[in-house]
Amino acid sequence: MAKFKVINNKIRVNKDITKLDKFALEVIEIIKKYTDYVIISGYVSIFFGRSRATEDIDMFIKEMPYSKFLKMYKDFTEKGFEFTIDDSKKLYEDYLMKDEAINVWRKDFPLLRMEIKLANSQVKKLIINNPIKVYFKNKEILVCSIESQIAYKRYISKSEKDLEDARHLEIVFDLDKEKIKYFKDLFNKDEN
Amino acid sequence: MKTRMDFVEKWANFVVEHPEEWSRMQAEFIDSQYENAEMIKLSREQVDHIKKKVK
Repeated sequence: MAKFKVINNKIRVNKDITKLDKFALEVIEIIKKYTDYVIISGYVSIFFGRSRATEDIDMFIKEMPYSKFLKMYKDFTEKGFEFTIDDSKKLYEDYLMKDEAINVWRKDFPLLRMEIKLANSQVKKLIINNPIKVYFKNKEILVCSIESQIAYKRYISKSEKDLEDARHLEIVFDLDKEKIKYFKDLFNKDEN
Repeated sequence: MKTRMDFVEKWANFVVEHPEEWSRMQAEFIDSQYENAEMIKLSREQVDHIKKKVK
């Protein structure tokens, strides 16, 4: 029996790197040069063993000025990535700053995308400011708290896939049940 | 009759009980799906079209 356990917001995982992990790491490598980020949603469940693939990895980032966003945009495009639209100014003003997700993918493989949104609400800011550091194969990624993930998927989004993701995490993690309730209440307040 | 959730729980318990094995099996499963998708070589427009249909 070996459940995953997060200690002091850190966890070490012994796992193989999948093509999905590789894509996530490539995007993170660029993003983290310009802003803070946290991975949320389905990929968190998949990272910790859920047996499914996905076409989107979801990420929150912190707000940055357009000048910095432009540098990040250029960095991505120079490294062979493509965005939702090719106009960086519109991408920043009409998507990111208006709470719309921007997508980024490798030009040669548009099926797999990183969906990036601003952490602009109280609860999203709480999540991005308190990430879990996950160490694996000399790599590091930041993911949201597992309890927040379960609370969101089980009590807010509640699709069949979300409930399955939540159930997976409930089984594989040693969890703080009070923390799940805490996030459930926060999400409910955020929704209202 | 087994439900999808039964299989989700069965696999999650396997992950807990076989910490040295689950990752290799999961990686094979996940990578094979992306390898299939890579072979099809869908364009950005085709992917957008499929995603709109699914939604």
